[in-house]
Amino acid sequence: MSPLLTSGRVRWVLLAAASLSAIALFLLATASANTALFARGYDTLLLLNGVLVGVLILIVVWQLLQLRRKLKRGVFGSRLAARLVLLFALVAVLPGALVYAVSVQFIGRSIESWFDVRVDRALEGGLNVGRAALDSLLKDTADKAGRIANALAETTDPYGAALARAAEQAGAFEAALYAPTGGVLAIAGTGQSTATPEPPPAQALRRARLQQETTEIVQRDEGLWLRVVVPVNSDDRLQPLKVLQVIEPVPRGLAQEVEKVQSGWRDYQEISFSRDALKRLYALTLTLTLLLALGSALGLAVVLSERFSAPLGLLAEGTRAVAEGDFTRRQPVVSTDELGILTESFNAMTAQLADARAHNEESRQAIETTRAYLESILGSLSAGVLAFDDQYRLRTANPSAAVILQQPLADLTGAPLADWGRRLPALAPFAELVADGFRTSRDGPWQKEVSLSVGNLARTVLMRGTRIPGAPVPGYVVVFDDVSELVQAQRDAAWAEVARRLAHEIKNPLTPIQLSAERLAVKLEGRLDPADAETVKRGTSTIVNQVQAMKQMVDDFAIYARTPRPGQLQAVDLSALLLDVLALYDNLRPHTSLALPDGAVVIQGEPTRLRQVFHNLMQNAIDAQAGAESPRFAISLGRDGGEARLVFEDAGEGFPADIVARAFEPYVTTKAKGTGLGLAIVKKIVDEHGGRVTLDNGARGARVTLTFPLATR
Amino acid sequence: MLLAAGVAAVLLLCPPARADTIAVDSAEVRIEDDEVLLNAQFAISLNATLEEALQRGIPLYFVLEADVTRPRWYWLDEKVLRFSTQYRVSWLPLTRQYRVASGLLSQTFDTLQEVERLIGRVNSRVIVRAGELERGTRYDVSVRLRLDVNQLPKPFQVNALASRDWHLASEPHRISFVP
Repeated sequence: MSPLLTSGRVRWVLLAAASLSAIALFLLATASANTALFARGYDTLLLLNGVLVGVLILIVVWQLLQLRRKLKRGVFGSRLAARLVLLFALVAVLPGALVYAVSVQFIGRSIESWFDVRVDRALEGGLNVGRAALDSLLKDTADKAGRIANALAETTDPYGAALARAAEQAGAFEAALYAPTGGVLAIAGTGQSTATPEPPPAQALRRARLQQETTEIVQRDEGLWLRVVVPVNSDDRLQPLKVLQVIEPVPRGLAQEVEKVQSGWRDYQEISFSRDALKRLYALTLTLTLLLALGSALGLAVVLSERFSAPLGLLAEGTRAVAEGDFTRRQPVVSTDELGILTESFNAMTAQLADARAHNEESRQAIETTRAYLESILGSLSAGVLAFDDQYRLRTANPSAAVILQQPLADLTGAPLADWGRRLPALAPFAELVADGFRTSRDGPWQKEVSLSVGNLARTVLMRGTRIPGAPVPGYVVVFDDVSELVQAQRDAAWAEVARRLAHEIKNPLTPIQLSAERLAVKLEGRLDPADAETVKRGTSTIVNQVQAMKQMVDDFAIYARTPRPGQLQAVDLSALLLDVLALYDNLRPHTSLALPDGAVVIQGEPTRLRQVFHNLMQNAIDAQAGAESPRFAISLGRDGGEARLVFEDAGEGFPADIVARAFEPYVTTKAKGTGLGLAIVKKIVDEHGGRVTLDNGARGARVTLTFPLATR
Repeated sequence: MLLAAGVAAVLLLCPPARADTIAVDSAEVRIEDDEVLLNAQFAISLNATLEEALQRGIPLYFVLEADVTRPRWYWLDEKVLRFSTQYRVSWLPLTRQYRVASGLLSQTFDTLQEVERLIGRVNSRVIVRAGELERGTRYDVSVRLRLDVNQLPKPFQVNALASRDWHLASEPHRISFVP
């Protein structure tokens, strides 16, 4: 819609045009009936009316075109508007057209009925009667004039006296004697119409000169007059011709009646002559009225229809907005009728929808938050958590589960437990354990501690399983934790305690035993015979040696059981330390291969305890190859990332499989002789340095790998 | 709708036909004794419709107009004054005479030709005093004699809208003079 012609403006233009037309039409109708009003410029008024009606029709046509365009574009509500327009138009046009047709017919008939041949003839007759009456009066006057003229012709008296006498005798109203050229000679009479009477017209004088008489009726504003002009021929031939004019008033009553007849005839003739024009005039006025009424009605119909259908359009727009998810639109409520109520309801509905969606959004956000929270908890749990549905299909596995089992558990989502072994063979024992747990507990909660081999390492895993009861989605949960470290630590602690007590309990009596044995040897020396002395000497020597060995053993325990002393670490070059220690095993040099990197390998540590580690490992290697003809000691030191890596290899028997898992426990040994504390101490010391020890079998024998974090500068 | 369109078309598209049915035989302006005098001769001939209307008692009004203007090259001509005089022609059925009235004067005639002759002859009509005009400037007089349709009874005004029978007028005749 162009900005110049908005529907609002059209409404005002329509209103203005309709009002102006109504006023103009009223004037036209009044003027048509009233002769005085708009006597001049009536045609202009008619044209003005026509133009206004034309404007009105143009507006209506424009409105209808707009409506049609809307219909074609499929604007919502335009169909209803069109139907309403049609209805309104029907309601307006039918009665209007009916009244119009009847009125035009009626006017035609009634105008025709005014005219009648009898009336025409009667008026004509009246006019003739009037004429006859006047003619008779005129004839009387002519007689009068003839008598006066005769009297004047016979007398020789001066004109004035003779005329006065003759006029009096004849009873003339006004008699005047004129020279043939028109000059006044004498005036007489009972009453003079004017002070200086009107001279006879030139034509009458001319006729008088030709001895002809002129009789005529003169219509003046003050009434009807009779004029007779006759020549006065004197007997005396010498006398020049004179002209007599006699003027008589028509009696007032007769004159009035005649005038009435005349004006009546004139009016009748005028109306009779103009009857077609009159019919046309009324028809035109009626047509203009009809067009005005129809135009106004149609224009109003369009405006009203649009007003009725406008809220529908707004509602449609609102509905579309709601469908697109926009709940913010509020339609203005413009009326108090049902449409207004509908609009209000729509607004209320939109508001409720908006509320509901906001609420929905909030709860969704809350759920998201909860879920994220749960996930972060599950993710940060060190324990592995597996959730299954009621068919034992994996639903979720937290990251720790994958880390502990060292298998890509995410790939198994949705896979039933029975299939795990097939898909990931490494998980078969674990899957079997879980299935077994639920089977034996009959869906009750269960708990067990099992030993699992994960990536060639034996791990102790604590598993708990339970059915999730009453959850919206029934299912099972398995929580498991790698408790290997914990178990190891517990064992370590227990052994440390045992060693500490044992050392304490054993060490105390050792010194008195040794001292007693030595005293026995000293006291009995020389008092016994050589054989006995030899026996005693061997016995005491054995006691002292064994006590010494026992002391050594107890010291080992003490070292093992000693609680770490933090804060005494210093920078240690592992290469230098290793060379230092190996110097003590000089006799083994031909069998030893040593690989050292360039430069120092510095870690934070205690040199004395590290020496202990190296001694223990060398001793183990020596013991393992006690009977071998060509023992071998391969020692290599290297840097691996941020760590120092030290590998001891020998060519012995290697570790038996059942020992590997528990090799670091005290009293676990393969040697016939030995405390079984060597590797336990190694492990303890390495642990205290933040390092790791791993045991496995190398190409030919046992291999021990130590890893220490490098010192940071 | 068709009817409406038709009426609108008739009303809007048919301006009154201006038939120059009154011929200007001669026209001149004379300045005499400080008076601007108009002499003119028009040839009027009433058609049958008008004659019948007259005989049916409808008075006809004729208007003689003389517009005095001063030409201006830079703008529309200046309207100085308008001289106009009116003749009322009526039929007297009682005496079967025509009556021509102009102002207070009235005359009766037996024939229509006499009436036409009287109205068509303009003899030394004073249209303006020379003192009212600027001396030495050129003025234009536009002379025109016409039947005044607006003074007809209303039905005939409607008729006049549609029929050219009711239009009797001369072309404006321009005369220039310098007082």
